Amino acid sequence: MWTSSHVSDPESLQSDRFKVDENAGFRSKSGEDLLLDQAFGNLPQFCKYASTCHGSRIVQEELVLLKSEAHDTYVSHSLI
Amino acid sequence: MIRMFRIPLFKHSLSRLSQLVCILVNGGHVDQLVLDKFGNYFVQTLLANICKASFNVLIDHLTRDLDGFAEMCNHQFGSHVIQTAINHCGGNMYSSAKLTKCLSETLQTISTKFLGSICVIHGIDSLSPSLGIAPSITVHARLLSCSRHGHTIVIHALERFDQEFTRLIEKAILNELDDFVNNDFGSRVLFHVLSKQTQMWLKTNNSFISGLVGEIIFNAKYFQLIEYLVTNFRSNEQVKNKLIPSIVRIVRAGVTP
Repeated sequence: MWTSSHVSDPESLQSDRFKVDENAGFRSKSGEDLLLDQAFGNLPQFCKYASTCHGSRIVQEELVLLKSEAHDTYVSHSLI
Repeated sequence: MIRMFRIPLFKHSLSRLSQLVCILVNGGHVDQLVLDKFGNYFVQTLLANICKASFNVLIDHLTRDLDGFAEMCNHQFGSHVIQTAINHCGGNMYSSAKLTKCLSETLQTISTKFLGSICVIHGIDSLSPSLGIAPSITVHARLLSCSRHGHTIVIHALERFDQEFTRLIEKAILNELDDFVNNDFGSRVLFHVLSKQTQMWLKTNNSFISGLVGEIIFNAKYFQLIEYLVTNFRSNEQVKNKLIPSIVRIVRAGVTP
């Protein structure tokens, strides 16, 4: 599983800092763009992740989400 | 408890996508992703969702080197990225011109391979013929027509392009008729052009049919062509006054000229 340089524990992606929401995609609780944070943080690792079966699908979802967000300005986002 | 909020989102999202394209290109990771089994899907999604300027940056990178471009076109995963790029550059003259130029200049290399020929067919469907792809096909008409995958490009182009393109292919056939007749794929192109002539029977001046009659050699390879002409174009002056009397003479004499 891909981990960025600033996320040392892969498990934290699942539980603590980040949440997985099938509607919202793979993003942080604060609404931060996980995809781009990781891409800018560690590009080779990001590309390695995007070259995996699961990772490719996840980053594609993020791209589509980013594009729709850019057009809509507002988006429904679930927060606990 | 889960509550739904509508929160203002980052207006810079699109520009961040552009930044992602820039760092991927500058970092030299695009080629690796394009040729990857799963990475190619990521690049395709990127092409489908980025703005025009970023799209042009990515196309600039993909078309920077003709050999690399040809390799991508013939690659089992890279080919899909090129096809997506071609399909998404409608209305983008800069990228259309770049892709057309690369497709035209690598036509000899890519058109005889299966995946490469698919890229060219996408180019025929999506890129403007006036940008240069039609002239390139006519220049390499014999090479393409006599190859397993190339002949499908010529047949597809005959369906899509105008009468002028058909005239140029007819000219290429008449110049090298032997090569077309002696090749299984070349003869398919020849008969496709003839079937177009049959459909346009009343509209055309039949100069192609007349030209064919003038080039015919009476041997076994030409039998199918002679039969087609006599069956479908018997009222053509050349067929009626030259080809049919020649056949009659041959049958009577029992020897070919």
